[in-house]
Formats: sequence, C-alpha cells, structure tokens
Amino acid sequence: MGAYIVRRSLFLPPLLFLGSILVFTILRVAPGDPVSIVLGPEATDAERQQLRDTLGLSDPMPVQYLKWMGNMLTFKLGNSIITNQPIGEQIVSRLPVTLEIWVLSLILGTTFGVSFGILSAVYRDSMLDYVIRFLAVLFLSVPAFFALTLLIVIPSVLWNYVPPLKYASPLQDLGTNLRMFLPPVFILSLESSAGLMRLTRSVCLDALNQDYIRTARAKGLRELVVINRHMLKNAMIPVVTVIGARIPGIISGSVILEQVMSLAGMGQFIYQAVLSKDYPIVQALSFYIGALVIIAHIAVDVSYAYFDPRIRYR
Amino acid sequence: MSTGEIALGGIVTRPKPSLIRQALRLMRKYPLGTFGVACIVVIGLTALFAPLLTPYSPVDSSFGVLKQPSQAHPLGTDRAGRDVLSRVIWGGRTSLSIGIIVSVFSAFHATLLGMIAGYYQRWPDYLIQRGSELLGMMPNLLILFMFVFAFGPGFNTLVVAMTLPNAFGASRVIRAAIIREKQSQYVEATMALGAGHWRIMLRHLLPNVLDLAVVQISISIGGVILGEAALSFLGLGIPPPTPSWGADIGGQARTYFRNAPWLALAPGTMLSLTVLGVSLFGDALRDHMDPRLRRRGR
Repeated sequence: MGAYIVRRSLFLPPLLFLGSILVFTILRVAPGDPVSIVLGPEATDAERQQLRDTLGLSDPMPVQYLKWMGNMLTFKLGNSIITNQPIGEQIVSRLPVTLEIWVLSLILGTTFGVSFGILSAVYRDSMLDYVIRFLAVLFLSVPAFFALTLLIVIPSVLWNYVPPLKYASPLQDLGTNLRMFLPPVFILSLESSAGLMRLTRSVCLDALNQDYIRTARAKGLRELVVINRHMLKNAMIPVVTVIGARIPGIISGSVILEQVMSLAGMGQFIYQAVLSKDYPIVQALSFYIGALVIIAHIAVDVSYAYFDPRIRYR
Repeated sequence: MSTGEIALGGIVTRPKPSLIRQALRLMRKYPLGTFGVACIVVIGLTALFAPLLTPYSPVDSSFGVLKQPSQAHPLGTDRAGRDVLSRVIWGGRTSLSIGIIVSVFSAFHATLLGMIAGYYQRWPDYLIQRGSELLGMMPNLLILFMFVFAFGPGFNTLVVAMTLPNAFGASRVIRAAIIREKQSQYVEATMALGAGHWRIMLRHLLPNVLDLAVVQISISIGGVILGEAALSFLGLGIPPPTPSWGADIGGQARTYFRNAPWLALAPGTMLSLTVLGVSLFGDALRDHMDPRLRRRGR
C-alpha cells in the first residue's frame, strides 16, 4: 500500500508542472499579450509599460514563469487590477460557498446514482428499470443551466417564492443555508448522478451474471444477502473509480450554479474576472483550481487501492 | 430449400438482405437509437433549410419589443424585437455546426495522437498520456474560460477550446487499441515485408481502430453542444446577435418569464431534444459496435 501511494504520487509533479505550463501558455503566450487584452487598443504606451511592470510581464518568458510559480507556491496572489482588493482575501471568503456546493453535490449525486443504479439492475427490465433509465437519459439531456433557470423562475411565478438572498453559514443558520443550497444542488446532482447510475447498472448486471452469484443462490441464500454480500462488494469497485472522474464536472457545474443563483463563490469569482478581464485573478484561479483537481484525482486514485487490493500489484 | 436461398456446391447461402431490411432490423433492435436519429434528422433538416423555413431573419429587430404570440409571430418577439421562432430554428445551425465541427476535428486528432502514443510508445506516449490525464482532470468550463480570456469569445475559440480536451480524451481509447493491434500477427508480417512505420499505421492499424474513434466521438457530441450552450448562456460563447439557444435562454429571458415563458422554454426544449437525440444515437452506436456489450444481452 505504501509503495503504491509513493508510486502514484510520483505522477503528481509532472502533472502539476504540465498544468502550470498549460495555464501559463494559454494566458500569456496567446495572441497579443495580456496587456492589450486588459487595456484595450486605446491605451498609451506609458500605461502599457506600467501595467506590464505591475504584472511582471517585462521579463523573458522563463523568468516570468519561475517568478509566477514562486508567487503561486508561496500564496503571493497580489491584488485585483480592477478593484485593487487582495485576491487571497476574496478566495478565503468565497471558498466555503463553493466547497459546500462541491461536497453536497458529490454526496447527493453519488447517493442517487449508486442507489438507483442498483435498483435498476436488480429489477432489470421491470417498469421501475425503464422509468429510472428514461429519467437518467432525460437528466443527461436537459442542460443544468436551463434546469436551474427554471428552478428559479417557476416557483417565483407560481408562488412568489424567492430563495434566501444573503449567504448564511451552515454553522450559524443551517435552515437558511440549506434552503439556499439544497434545491439547486439537487438539480445539479441529478445530471451528474445520471451517468453514475448508468455505470452502476451495467457493472451490477455484469456481477449478477457471474458464477459466484449462481453459487450463492444455489446454496439457498436469500436474494437480499446475495445482493448485499456478493454482488455489491464486487460491483462497487468500478463505481468508486469514476467518482474521482466526476470532480471536474462538479466544478464546471458549480460555476453555472453560482452564476444562476447569484452565490458569491469561486466559480462566480473566476467568471466575473473573465468578463472584466481581471488578469491576475484568472491566472491565479486557473492554476489553483487545476492544481486542486489534480491532487484530488491522485488522492482518489490512491484510495482505490484500499478498496481493490488487485490495483496495488498492477 | 426455401426461395431466396442459393445452393453453392452443397453450401446454402442467403443473399445479403436489402439495405431497407437491414435498416428495419436495426430500428427494431434499437428503438431508442431510432428515436434519437429521428430527432437529429428533424432538427438537422430544419437547421439546414432554416432560410427557407423562416419568414424572417433571426437578427432582424424591427418587429416590436416583446410581442405576444400571433399569426405573424407564432412565438412572439424577444426584448430586442426579433422573431423568436426564427431564432429558435436558426439556433439549431449554431449548435449542430459546433457539434459536428468539433467532433470531426476531435476524431482526427484523437486518432493521430492515439496512433503516435500507441505505436511509438516511450516518450511521445508519456507526454500524450500525461496531457490527456491533465486535460481529463481540468473542468471543461475552466479550459473554455482560459481560451475565451486569451482569444476573445467566438466560434473559432470555442472549436479550439473544445477540440483540445475531447481529442486528448478519446486518444486514450485509440492508444489502447493500437497497442493491442500492434502485437497481432498481421502487423508483424507487414513489418517483415519491410513496410515503413507510416504505412503500417495508416494502411493496417488505422482501419482497425477507426470505428472506435467514431463511437468515442459520437458519444461526446452531446457534451460539445452543451458546452457551447453553457458558455453562450454565460455570455462568453457565440457573440450576439448570432442566434444561439444557450444565449437565448440566458440574457433577458429569465426576467420576462412571467409574461413570456416561451422566450426561455422554446430554445431550452430544442436544446434538450437535440442533446437527447445525439446521446440516444451515441448509446445505440456504442452498443452496436462493442461486441462485448452486445453479448451481455441488454
């Protein structure tokens, strides 16, 4: 196990390096330069030079890269060039909102996806199975931003209901907090659970066709025991492996959710920075979100080894 | 021996069933896939013949602001005074053309990357694999944001930003297939005959992995269409006034939902139907092409 963790963690540095190169290349080497993106064509040369100095763009590329990485790794994020507020403070105040969305939708999505997948496999070709599969395809097709828009407008038109507008911390006012987060995250997790449901269904069906299931039934075990003890334990391994693969989708989803529901989280932060061409924010957030996803992925990868000893010896 | 069977030296062979009969059999076998194809065909044709089907231009804003549905404008007009029905029909062009262009580009690059990685292995393989891992982990919206920030919003930015992760993602399947095929005897025989690397790859390996590329890409079209719509919804996709379903759902449609719900509902329904059609078709295609799934008897 320890050796496996070490082996898998060795992938971390090259991935983080590649990721930082990707962000750096797209945002700096791109067409003109960030300065003309930010200032527009009418700026004077003096203004351009000043901004170039503040952003550290006067140095040669490799030096720029090293300086930027140094700043990112020591959390020297600088200020927004539009509002001049420190970026670090903004991240700290916005992170709880986004984390709550991520955690809630991971929990809800996994619960729905796995449980309906199992139901649909166990009652294969029944009415229940068809209904679940139809809903899964439906949830995959209706875009999250459309469903979320309807979630806001329909209750407001029908019952004049407006969700709480001011962010409430779950530690202080759990009721308001959940009224704010639960409905949209529920909608968001329907979409992500649909894919998981289909995978769970197909691996469960696979497991149900195995010889050991026939043996278990033949020796007279009740169906519930067969499913709990024999099918689930084997079927869950591939399911666990895709939970990590859903993290990027959840992050994209949270950007949309925060924008539609006007929640002040990280997703809204980077979206507004893209709109207002706030270069330092886009650069810092792209790097940190990327790094976070990579680390989470490797962590999930390592955790498979715990569930499936076979992986350790591959 | 019934009619239609021909005896050839004692072996009974049937003539190949006609194309129509084959199609009918496939339709019976994949009813959902057939429904998907029907959706795509109908939406595709309306998009293709949009200029003939719509009496107005989708960008003509001279019809009066926010009119209720009438004979002249079955879905009313939007806040800018444009005919909503025309915009919904033309919006299909944007969605479908993005979907098709990105898919074709991705299929081409995925095959190229997968072949190079699987055939040469060693460092090109390492680089391509890490690249596809990295792009697979990055949230798509974040990649789109970075590209929009650097290159400005627009059709070409969208195509590049969505082709990149799609191509790298699909290349992994191609790579695995190439590694498997490379060890087969026919490749060894071709090598022994002195064929060059490119000849082996293009003439011998490519035909064997091509259907995989097609399946991979057809599964991802729905995601591409949704990506464009989401970005346009956020106002960073196709710049106005070009009709886009995503942009028309966003913008002002929400504000006027109480009095004009069709402003959001019409493009939203079309978008959902398109993605539904594409994903049902992709599923059926995958089931049909993947013999392992076929045997499972689903």
